Amino acid sequence: MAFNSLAYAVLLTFSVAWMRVGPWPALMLILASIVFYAAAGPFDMLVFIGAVALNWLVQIAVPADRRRIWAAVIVNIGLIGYFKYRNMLLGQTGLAGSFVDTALPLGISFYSFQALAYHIDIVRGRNGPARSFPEFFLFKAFFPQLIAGPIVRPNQTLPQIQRVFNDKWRRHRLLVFGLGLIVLGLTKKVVLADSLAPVVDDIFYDRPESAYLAWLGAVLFTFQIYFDFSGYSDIAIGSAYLLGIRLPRNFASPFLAGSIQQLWQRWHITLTQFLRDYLFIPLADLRVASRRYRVVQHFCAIVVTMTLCGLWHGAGWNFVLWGALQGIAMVFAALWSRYLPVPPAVVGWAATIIFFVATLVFFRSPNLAYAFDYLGTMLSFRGGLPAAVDDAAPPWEVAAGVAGLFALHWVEFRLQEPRVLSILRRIEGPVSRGFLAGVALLLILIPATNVNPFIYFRF
Amino acid sequence: MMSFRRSSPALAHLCRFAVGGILAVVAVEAGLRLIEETPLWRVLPVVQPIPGQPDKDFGFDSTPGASGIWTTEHRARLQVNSLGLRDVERAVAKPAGTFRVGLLGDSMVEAAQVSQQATFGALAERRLRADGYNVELINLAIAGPSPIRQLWRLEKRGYRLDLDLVMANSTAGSFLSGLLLDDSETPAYVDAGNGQLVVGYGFRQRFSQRHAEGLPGRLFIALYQSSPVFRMLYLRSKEPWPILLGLPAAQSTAQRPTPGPAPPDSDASRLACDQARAALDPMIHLWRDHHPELLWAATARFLDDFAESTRSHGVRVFYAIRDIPLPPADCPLPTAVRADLLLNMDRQFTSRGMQLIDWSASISQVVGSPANVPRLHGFGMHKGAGHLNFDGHRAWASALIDVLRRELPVRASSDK
Repeated sequence: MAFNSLAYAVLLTFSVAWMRVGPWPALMLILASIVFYAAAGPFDMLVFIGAVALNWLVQIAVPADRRRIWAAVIVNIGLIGYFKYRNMLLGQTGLAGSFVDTALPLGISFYSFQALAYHIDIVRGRNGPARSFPEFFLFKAFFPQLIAGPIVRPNQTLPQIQRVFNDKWRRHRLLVFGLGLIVLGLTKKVVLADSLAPVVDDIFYDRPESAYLAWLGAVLFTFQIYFDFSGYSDIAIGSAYLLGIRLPRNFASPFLAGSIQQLWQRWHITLTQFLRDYLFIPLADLRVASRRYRVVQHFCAIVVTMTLCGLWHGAGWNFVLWGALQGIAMVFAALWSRYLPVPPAVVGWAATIIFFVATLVFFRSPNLAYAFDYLGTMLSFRGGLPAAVDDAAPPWEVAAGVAGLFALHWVEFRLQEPRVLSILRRIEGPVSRGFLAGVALLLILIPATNVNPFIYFRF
Repeated sequence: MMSFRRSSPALAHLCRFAVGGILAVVAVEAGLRLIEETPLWRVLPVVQPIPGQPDKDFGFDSTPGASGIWTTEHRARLQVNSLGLRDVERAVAKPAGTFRVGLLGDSMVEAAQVSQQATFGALAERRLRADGYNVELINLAIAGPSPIRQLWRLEKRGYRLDLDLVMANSTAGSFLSGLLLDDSETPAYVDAGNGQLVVGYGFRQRFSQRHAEGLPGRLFIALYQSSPVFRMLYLRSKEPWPILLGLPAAQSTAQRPTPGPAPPDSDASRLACDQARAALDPMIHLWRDHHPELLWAATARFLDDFAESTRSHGVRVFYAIRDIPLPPADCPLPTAVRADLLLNMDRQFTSRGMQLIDWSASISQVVGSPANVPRLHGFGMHKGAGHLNFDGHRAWASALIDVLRRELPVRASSDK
């Protein structure tokens, strides 16, 4: 069930109302989560229920030591491996050379990683286990974050879920905060991401002949994926807030970052933290190199982590290369900051954005050959500016539009300031709630010219 | 107010909530209007206009002055002129020395997907004028596949413009679809009970037609034409529940097409042959064998009425029929069937004083081959199917100019 659907609005409204006045809130949340995921279809539901059951079995049947970590790795990485990477490993490609299996269960990459983090944290003593299967089920299936995150750790949501079971959860009073996040997320998704999608699709489909169009496609795709996924995250966090559960933030204005490391600290934050804690740190701490070469090992760990990050995003060599390039860029930036003078902030910002935009071509392309061809056009600087024919927007309008997207990003950054929260506290009331609920409903009803599912649903 | 708050706090709360909802409607309305009025319309969400209203003679007719951003297939600013036509403003009285051509047709000719300046009619007019012909090509078309709409359109909007020539354009399939006999949406020929066909207005029984003239109906029309939010709610309310709710199963049917593997050349050729034959069969049955009888009776009646109407107004008629399949060169049987079909169609039109144009062949000739015709349709990743794209309008303009040049004997420097 998509967040920008009327069905989700009905489900969320009913759930919030029930949580406020009805009995058995935990049971209601479980049922709502089942209804939410059931929209994906019986096959996806079966895989999900199987994954939850297997992970519960790991908890009750395997001792809480290294064996449990190995069992969790086998179950969860096995699930992702089978459903997501089977074609890639077997060398079977589908349409346009893609390895992606169209039968990929919805959200499998997210709920598998979350289960993995759960078991590892319990073994490491960072958090206690769920006390019952329903608690564990709700931790895994809590519907606002089930399909595409944020990827939560047990210490972030399990205690809150346990409070729901104890009927002592925190009833948030600042409803305009949750509603405001939902409106912000819907604006990003419905107004911006879905509007950019057909333009980007057309540019990538037609194989642009001019560098101007190729760069435009890459820049617009960068914003499309940002608005799409950060919009999804905002709606998830806002929805969870209305239900009394706080989820961690997932984006923090990444396109204002001055370096590639900063960008990754602000982009898909929960995944970056997951990779840092469960992959990078263990790899960097492995005692495989002498003290003298620990720096090299450290850098290798960065590249390996980011390469696997790319692989997590998609089963294709284009994703692998995209991830590897992010890692190499981080190493390059680290070496630069150590041995060379720090460039002016604007230069660092521009270099970061240009690199990220250019490498996202690998992310958007169906395969490596297409990506290199596209990048070749971008770097050729051929074609010049387009002639004003066929109702095309003049270049100055396009430039103003791109500048507007960066301006919106900056405005969003300013919205995260603490004083905005105090403004929300002042305006909290039925009028502001009615206003935000009305805007959210109307945004959902805005007719879409094409069906554009959230991009991260595919991962 | 204070007593109201004390006596019913829940009601007061609800009222304030409703005030917030009204403010939301105002805000979204303002936002959508802002998008429509600025260059943001090219990308950001807009609500497609409904540039017409129920009409008791016509079924549904365009509203003079209606405007908006067309979004289906491709975005374009749509403006209906004061005469109710998708055209630039034209004087009703024909300027002296001007040769006026009325372009009749369906949505392909109306061409809401591109700006008015990019339509084939506008392109052809500019090129002919640049060549010295004092000509006006007036777009009389309106969306809707029934050929009878073209005749009614001509009578209601066209004749008062003192046309010299009419260029009608229909698909061959529109005569087969049964729309000439279906008066549930537009006027059509219906059986009077004595075997005679008369013009039926069954659509007048529709709810929208019965209430269009009253105050609530007029208010409703004014609202959906002027308020994007109201129009959005109206359009969404007509969707089936699964689509309105946004359930995945309902959405999957609207997914973008994904290209499948192309068949081998030999198979493709045979397939094209078979498809052409299958499409031509019902056409030849209608135009040569006059079967099904009722459908032919309606077609013949339409041709009679069209010829009689134009003759009485002194307007010459070119009738372009498109989508008559062009079989590949190595398909002798369908090619022969096609030739036979055209012979029979031409006989029907010529006997009534109208000239038939094989529009598919004309366009194919302009672009070099039937294989190039699909690229004239659709936009972006949907290229290959749908309405005319910019290349399509250029090709149609060339074909139209080829036809008209033969009919325009004098240049601007000469007088008429």
